[in-house]
Amino acid sequence: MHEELIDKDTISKLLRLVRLYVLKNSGSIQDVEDVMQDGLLTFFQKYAKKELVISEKPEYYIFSICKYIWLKELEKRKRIQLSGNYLVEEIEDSDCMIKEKERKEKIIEILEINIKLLSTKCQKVFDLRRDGLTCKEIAEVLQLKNDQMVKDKHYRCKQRLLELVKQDKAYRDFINDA
Amino acid sequence: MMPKKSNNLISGFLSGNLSKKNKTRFLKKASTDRDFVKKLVREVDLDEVFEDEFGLGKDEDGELEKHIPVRIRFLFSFLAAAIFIGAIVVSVSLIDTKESRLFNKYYHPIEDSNLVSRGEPNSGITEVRIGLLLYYQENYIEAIRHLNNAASDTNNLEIVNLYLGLSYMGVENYEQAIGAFQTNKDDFYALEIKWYLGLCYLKTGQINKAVTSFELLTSSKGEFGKDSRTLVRKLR
Repeated sequence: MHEELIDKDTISKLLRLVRLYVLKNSGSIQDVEDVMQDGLLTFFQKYAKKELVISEKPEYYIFSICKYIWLKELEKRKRIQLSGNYLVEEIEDSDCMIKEKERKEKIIEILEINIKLLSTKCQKVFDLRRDGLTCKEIAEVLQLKNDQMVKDKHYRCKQRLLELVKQDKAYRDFINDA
Repeated sequence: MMPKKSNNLISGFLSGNLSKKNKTRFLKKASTDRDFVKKLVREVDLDEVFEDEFGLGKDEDGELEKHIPVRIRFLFSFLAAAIFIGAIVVSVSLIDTKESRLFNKYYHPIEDSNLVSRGEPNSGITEVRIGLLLYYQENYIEAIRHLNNAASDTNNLEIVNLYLGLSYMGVENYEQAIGAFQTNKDDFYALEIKWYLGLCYLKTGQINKAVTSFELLTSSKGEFGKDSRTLVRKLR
């Protein structure tokens, strides 16, 4: 039963699709999160009940669920607008994109602060990677045996960093306020 | 606050390291628990921002596949290393058991650490820090003493148990090392723990347990995964 689940990359691709779709269609960053939650929850429920088989590109299937959820939500908001003489705030595309950019920059800022808590070697790996060096070049600079060692190091440093970020009060406050 | 088990399920999912049993647990949570899905989405989002800014990128993963000369050079290096290792293995095999040979081949003290514990970064870790420094200086007996002192600090248990186990391995006290590794319930050092626990079982002749430990790593990326697949194949 359930030999294969969808993976992180699928959710990551889905998140990009949903973000773009919702933000372009009058939604906010909070709406993106809500739609993602509802979409994934629906998908996992169907999957757990064996009502569907995971296809080659499940993100498109889940995306169609998310689109449906968002359209329903928009419909609901329009009804509220008509019945209660309530104007739904129209957000321009560019405004959404600016907010999204600001959100991303804030997360990067938190990541940067926490990177400083890592070992010097981890910091160097991330700095060099950010400067655009390939794994092979990083291996040369850090005098590591080969690029595979850089990849291993990068993976471990990333795990440590994300753990630190998740414990960081600034990050927790940020995602709860977003 | 999300229960620790849920956090572990999400971490396992993100690293592609969920066992069959945990996949079922994950699915159950994801299909019934809205907070769980919310946390999952947030962690994927964080991971995505990290990858965009500091990640290695997908293209580079395929780089070795595209550059054939590098592969050929690698193949020659590999063959040379294999011949060299083969010669050593043949000579050592006259005086050693298969398990010991495998242990000696795959056991290396852990590389380094950022000295930051998982629980409370930079708080109350003096004893841990000293223990770790002593471990890196290969002063395992003193490292054990300091790490045992630090074990009373519950915030730092995960890192303490990992290095306590490693220090016991350093003085070849494998039973104590197994005890220390088994105490660790946290997923942050799961790969290291499973790997070194497997090596301890191998060294103490508990082959079935060693295989079970290595099997848990066979699907993981990186050196542990690769070496575990080799060891499982050799030990079966």
